[in-house]
Amino acid sequence: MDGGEETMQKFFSNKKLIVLLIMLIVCMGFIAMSVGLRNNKKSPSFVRQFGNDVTGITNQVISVPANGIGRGVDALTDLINTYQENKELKAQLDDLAQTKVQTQTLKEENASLKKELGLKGTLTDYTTVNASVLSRNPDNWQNALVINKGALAGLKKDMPVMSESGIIGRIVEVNKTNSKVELVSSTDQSSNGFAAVVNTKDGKQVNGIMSGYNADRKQLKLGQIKTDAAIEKGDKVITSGLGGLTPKGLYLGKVAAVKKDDFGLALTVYVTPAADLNNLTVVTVIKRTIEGE
Amino acid sequence: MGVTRLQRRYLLPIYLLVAFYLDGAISHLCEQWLYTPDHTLISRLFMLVLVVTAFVLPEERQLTWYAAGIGLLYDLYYTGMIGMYTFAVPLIIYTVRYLKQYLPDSAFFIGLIDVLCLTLLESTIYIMNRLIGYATVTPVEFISNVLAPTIALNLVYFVFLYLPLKYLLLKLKSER
Repeated sequence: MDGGEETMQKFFSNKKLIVLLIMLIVCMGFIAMSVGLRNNKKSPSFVRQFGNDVTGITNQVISVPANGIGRGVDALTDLINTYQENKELKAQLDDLAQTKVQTQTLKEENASLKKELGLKGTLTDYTTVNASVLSRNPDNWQNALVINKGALAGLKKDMPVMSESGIIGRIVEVNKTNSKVELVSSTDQSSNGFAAVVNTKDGKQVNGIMSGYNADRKQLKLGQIKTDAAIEKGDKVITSGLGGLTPKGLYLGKVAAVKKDDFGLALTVYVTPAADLNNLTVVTVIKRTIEGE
Repeated sequence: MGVTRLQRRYLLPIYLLVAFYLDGAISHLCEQWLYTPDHTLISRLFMLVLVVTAFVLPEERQLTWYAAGIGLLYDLYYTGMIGMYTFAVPLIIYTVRYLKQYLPDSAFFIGLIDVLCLTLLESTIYIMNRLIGYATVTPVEFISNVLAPTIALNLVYFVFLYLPLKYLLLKLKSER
């Protein structure tokens, strides 16, 4: 006798309909709770953290070989592009050496000056934690990644995350051994609401706030900027370090276009993100030295 | 006999977990091709395994519970919002197991049900995300940019993986 058929003689009997309704209500309740949890500072409950840690650790059975294959393919494509890249890079290299030496000198000078003033840490001081990407949420509504470092490595909710070239997002949930990163391309304000500064060509700094991501243009929106600011295409945008856990001076991207907003009171600046949001294997989590809030 | 039954009971959840992790790995490795402004392709291997199992191993009574487990895992691990997949996946699998008795066992119908399940799942998830404000695309854009490409990708999975998967699952059955 087929066991399966027995159990499903009646599809939606009264009892099952009631169970369905209760399930729906419970799930809605859980979703509401989860959204609430996401918007405040707390880390998830112990049971959830434990579940996520176990999942993260077992995930490595698949993700480590998969990432290995991915790296192999990347290496192969890199090999094909090597000649062209080499030519371009050589041109930049001379310039870079000079900049590097200069940066180092300035850093040393800065450190000694800070010591003299008795400053323990400023907005520009931070330490980094490297992590590799374990997995990505297949459905792309939240643009979320899972990385292989968590609370044990000192990560906290809302820390900014960078690739080699620039900011890619923020940590939204921390477990013991892994955490979730939401990319700036998400519609969620908390992942791309960075306080930013535009360095204009005439040496001024203009403050603004990241206010979203335009999926069609693949660009970040920077809002609340005074209309008299002389912002041009190609100006560099960095974080300002005001508020939250973000230090000053992390590279966000370049200005792509400047537009007046709907009321003509402020400017909206479109910024091309420096980092490629669709090719991430290793990311860097930024820990600010001085605690905010 | 005891040993083979144990093997059978453990292997199906393991297949499901592997499919679940492979989804994440594929999405991560192929992100530059899967996620563009014009279209989003969602990899749903675990759905394929669940649907094929519902047809090939109808005597597996725990399948709805496995589906609930995978749904809960998905919610916890990827989104942190418990309730979306935990609700949608088992309900869909329950329906499939019910509908199964009226449908012939051919590959064509299994593929059809797979497409139907994906449509149901993606639509439910889209509506829920729309409600809480994560998804901003309009329903028409959702159908043309997300749903259709997703179904196309998963049909490719189905074409290539149906026979190997069926073979694997039938092997579980014969060992019992």
